[in-house]
Amino acid sequence: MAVAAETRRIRTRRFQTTGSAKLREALVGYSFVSLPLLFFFLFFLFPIGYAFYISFYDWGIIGKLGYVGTANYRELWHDKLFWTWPPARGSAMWNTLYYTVIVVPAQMALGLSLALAVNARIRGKTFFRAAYYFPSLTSSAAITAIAIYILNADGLLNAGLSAVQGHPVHTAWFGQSNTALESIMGLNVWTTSGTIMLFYLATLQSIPTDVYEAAAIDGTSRWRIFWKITFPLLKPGHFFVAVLSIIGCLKLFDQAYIVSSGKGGPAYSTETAVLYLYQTAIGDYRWGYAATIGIVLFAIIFAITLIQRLIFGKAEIGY
Amino acid sequence: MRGIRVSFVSVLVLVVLVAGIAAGATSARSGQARAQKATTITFAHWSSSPVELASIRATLAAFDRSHPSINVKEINIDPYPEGMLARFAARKPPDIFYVDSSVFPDWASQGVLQPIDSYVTAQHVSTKRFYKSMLNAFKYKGKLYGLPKDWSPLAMQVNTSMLAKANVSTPTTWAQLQSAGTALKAAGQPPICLSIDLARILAFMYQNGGGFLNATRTQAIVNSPANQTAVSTYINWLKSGIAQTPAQLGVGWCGEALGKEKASIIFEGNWVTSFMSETYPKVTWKAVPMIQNKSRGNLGFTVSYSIAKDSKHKQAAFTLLKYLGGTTGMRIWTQAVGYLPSRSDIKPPSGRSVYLKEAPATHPWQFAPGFSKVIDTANSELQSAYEGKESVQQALSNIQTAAAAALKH
Repeated sequence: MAVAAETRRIRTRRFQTTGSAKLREALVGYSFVSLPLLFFFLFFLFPIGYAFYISFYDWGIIGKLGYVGTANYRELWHDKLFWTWPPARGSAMWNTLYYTVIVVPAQMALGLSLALAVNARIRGKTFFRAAYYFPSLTSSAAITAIAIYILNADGLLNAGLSAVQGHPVHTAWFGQSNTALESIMGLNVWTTSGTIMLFYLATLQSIPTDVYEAAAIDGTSRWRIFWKITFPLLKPGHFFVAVLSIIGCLKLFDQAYIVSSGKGGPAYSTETAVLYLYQTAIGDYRWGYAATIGIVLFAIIFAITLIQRLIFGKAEIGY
Repeated sequence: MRGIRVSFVSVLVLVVLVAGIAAGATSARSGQARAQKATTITFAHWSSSPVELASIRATLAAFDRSHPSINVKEINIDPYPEGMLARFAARKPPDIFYVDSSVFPDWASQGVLQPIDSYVTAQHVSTKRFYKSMLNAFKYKGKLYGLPKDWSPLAMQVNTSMLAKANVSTPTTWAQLQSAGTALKAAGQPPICLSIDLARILAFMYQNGGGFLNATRTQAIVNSPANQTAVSTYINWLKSGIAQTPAQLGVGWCGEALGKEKASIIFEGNWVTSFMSETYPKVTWKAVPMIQNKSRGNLGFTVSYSIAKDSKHKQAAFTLLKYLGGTTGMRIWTQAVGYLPSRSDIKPPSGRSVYLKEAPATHPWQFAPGFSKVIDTANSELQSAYEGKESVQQALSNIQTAAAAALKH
């Protein structure tokens, strides 16, 4: 101890003689973050800025075709494939919002119930934790490819339904517009529930035990404990999960792309905002217009996150 | 001692001689290389099967043997349009590559393709023997941008034993198709397979005297009574149950339905031939001429060999293009892979002649720049009409609006 204290004193003295210790510390700190920051600028901030720039241009495969001012934004405002008024299924933005409104609460509810289940003192909870997390480890492309077989007109799901209902069922789940997006919803709620369970589990375990002990002394029912203690104290978890889940839903692309072979069909049902952006860029070579869609989508996601922040207040709570 | 000295001298002479010969040989070899000065060009393509990839390599190997001064570096790009876009944008495209007829208007209008008219004229290449509609698919604003490597129209493929069981003869008109479908259904045989896909329905529109764009591709002609009848008839076949969609049949496409014996009649191209012989060799089927109504009408799918505008070896690339589009190259390619030659002076692989007879009635699967999303819209509108969410007329009117908007850009 004495030795350690001695060295520290010596070091401190040296810092004091050679200049500001704070400055040195700052330099070391900044040099550590400089490399990640460089990547952040190069692959994140710069592309966003550049996308904003090209959203004012007619931009083809090999570059600028002409400055168009705000024409891309005005066109997007009137683009019936992107959004319509009144809201209706079929346009990219309303499909995406419909998907989000259904999937986010479903994901959170399923994730929370799984977290509560594996947080209980039961035998083999490590196994259940791993088992529930497993779908999240699998690539969504692979899951979707297999789901296409299961939800086929002759697939496993219909075989099961036929057995239950007693007559043959041949629903083409991905082949008709009133079930295609809903099938993707079911698929994604299941796939992502493991990740959400993990976040909730971490928050659950950070709740101090003394509040539960106090409740137990008062003889509070388990149901009341959940709604009056656990649920409100999970507030940081709710905020974090909701933000992640909403952003994830608004970015829906891969499943919609695979299910419809990149076309957004049947009958516009799987046309999402990001898929529409992709089709505009890769199919029609209208990179400027695609950048406009990207910027607008960015603004929407940013606004929704801000609103959430206001609703949940500061995601900190005092016990 | 003397003997040793002699042998020493002789060894020395021998060493010098060997060194001299070796040096001579080296200089001779480098002289040979100097005389040839091989140019290396890059050839980009996709391949949908191992057979196709092997056939591409066999064709290029034949070129290599007869053209020692040009080295061809072959690259297989997957996914194709995306991979090519990145290379165009980086201004480092392959020298010569495939262009699908449906993306051709986009690529030509974006200025990434090299017009080949001057090379064709200078080297006296005759394009007379190409099927006209397939060659014209690679013309944009009066200039030629490539030669079609092969093509396929649609035809009708029938399961012969199913037709025999229902005592139905091969239909040739819409009316006969309708009664054949009814008879097949009555006999408990599998239905006709029809996709809700513009790349099939457009052929029926042509057969009824309709179409999608006018001849100069400046106006959309989707919303016509002829198209309305064609689409309504097509959808009614599905609604009455004599036909089913691939989704209903639980397959990815109608060819798979033919293979799995879930459909008795389908409308696909020559690509069914190798698919059936490789995957479902036991099914008894044959290809017959495309159905017709008021007139014959068909869609042709083709791909060109084209040269990049940014290529640094256009002359060498054109030498390869001339070879691949000429009789020797195309014969090797089509015989190896089993596709239809795009030149009338080359015999098709055996059993494919029924497809070639479709040539005069065939329109290329091609629209105008910026039509990729219009085609997606068309498919979604047709699906909506099929699901009964809107009338056929409403669907066609919406497609018309989308097409007209794309033509304005």
